[in-house]
Order: sequence, then C-alpha cells, then structure tokens
Amino acid sequence: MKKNKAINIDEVLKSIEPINKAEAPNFFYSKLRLKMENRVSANSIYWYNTNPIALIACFCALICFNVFIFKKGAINTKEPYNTTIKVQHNDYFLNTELEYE
Amino acid sequence: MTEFELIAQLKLGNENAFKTMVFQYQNKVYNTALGLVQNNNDAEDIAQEVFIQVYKSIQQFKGDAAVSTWIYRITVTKSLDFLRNKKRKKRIGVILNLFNNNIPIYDAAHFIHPGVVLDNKEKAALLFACIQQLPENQKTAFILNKVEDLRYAEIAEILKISESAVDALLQRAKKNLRKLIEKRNE
Repeated sequence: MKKNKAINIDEVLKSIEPINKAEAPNFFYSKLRLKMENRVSANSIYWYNTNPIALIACFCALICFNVFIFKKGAINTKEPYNTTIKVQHNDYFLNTELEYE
Repeated sequence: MTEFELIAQLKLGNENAFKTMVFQYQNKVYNTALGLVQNNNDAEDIAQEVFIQVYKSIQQFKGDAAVSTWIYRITVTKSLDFLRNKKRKKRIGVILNLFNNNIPIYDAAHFIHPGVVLDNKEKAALLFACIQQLPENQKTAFILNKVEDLRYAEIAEILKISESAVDALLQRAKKNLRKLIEKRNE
C-alpha cells in the first residue's frame, strides 16, 4: 500500500515532465500595441494627476491665490465701513446723508 | 538581426525592432507567466505588461546580462507581484466576509496547463495546485526548470543566485511537493 502511494506521488511529480510549451494567444502583438496606445493617450490626458511637479505647482498656485485674497481682504477691512458706503454713494450720485441725518 | 543590433535599434525607438523582439520572446514570457499565475487571461495581461516594461526601460538596459535573462527577470517579478496582490485581495475578502456574508470569496480555479499530455491532465492539475502552495523562490525555480525547461545556469542568472543554490531550491521544492501531494491524497 505504502509502495503504491510512493509510486503515485512520483507519477504526479513526473506528470509535467513531457510538457509542451504554451504559446501566446493569437493577435498578441496587436493587443499589446492597442494597450500601449490606450495607455499613452490616457497618460497624456491625466498627466497632471501623476506628475509630482505639476501637483506641487498647482498647490503653490493655490497657496499664492489664497494669500493674495487674504491680503486683499485685510486691506479692505482696514477702511471704515462708512467710508466705503460714502464712496459708493458718490460713485452712483446718491446723497443718502440727508436721509440718515 | 543580432541581439546587440536589436537592442541598439530598440534604444533608437525602432518599431520593427520592438515587433521582432515581441515575436521572439512572447511564447517564453507567456509560458513562464502561465506557469506561475496559472490563469490564461492573467498570464496574457502579465505578458503584455512585461513588454510594456521592456519598452519603457530599454534605455536602462546596460547589456550586463543576456536579453532573455533580463526579460525572464521582468516576467518573474511581474508574476510574483501579481500573485502577492491577489493574495492580499483574497485576505481582505476573507476579513470583509466576517462582517458581511454576501461577499463571495473566489478560490483558484482548477488549472490545466495546455501543454500537458492528455493522459497526465488530472495528475498535472494536482501538481500545479501543489506548486501554487510552494514558497515564491522554490516555485519560481521549479517552473523555470520544469515548465520553461531552463538549465541551472540560466535559472541562477535570472534569480541572481549560484547554481548550487538553484539545485538546493529545486530539491526543497520537490520535497515540499511530495509532502503536499501526500497531504492531498489522504
């Protein structure tokens, strides 16, 4: 019984000794070219997603824009509220002082 | 076209040289990948990825090793990466399954290599199932030797180890396969 088992294991181990090599599927090269072309077009569309320089540049631009907006806002808030109203009224030829006084 | 000329033309971006190289190595790459991943579609995907990698990194190829060795190395790396990813996904699937019973866990299908002789198909299927359970280096050495029919010296160059180390790997692989087959027979 033990001998049979040993023979069986050896048979299993030798079952791939006369093995033919598998061949690549038909139109392998055509499919490969198609995949390469698709990948190139996809990379050109989404290059900024993976390009670290582009990502850093976008981040810096965002920071600069935020700083600019923040500074502009800070300058505007230094002016008293009434002044801006007066300026606007003058621009549109309105005389609202009478109404308020 | 000699190997040296082929590489020179590839470095210049010659499309015909690339086509020649693909036709020259596609069966070797596919057969190796198929032996390692044991699935036709996955092997085809890996073979395509190998040639894309070759196309991308041809400028870095210094010619220290033969082109075939370099291509085999890429094939083995890609195939093992694929198997690691598959194992990781399977592990995540098992964990998710603990919380949600609806997620199905797909196990390896019954693989029969297309090159196996008809009489040996069942035994070969059992052997391939056991090969999948071997450690990575033993599995790679065994597939390169038995399925791709490479000599010890070639395997040693691909795996960057000595010939005696290849011999040791194959001996251990056979020993482990015996144990695994015996376990499945019980």
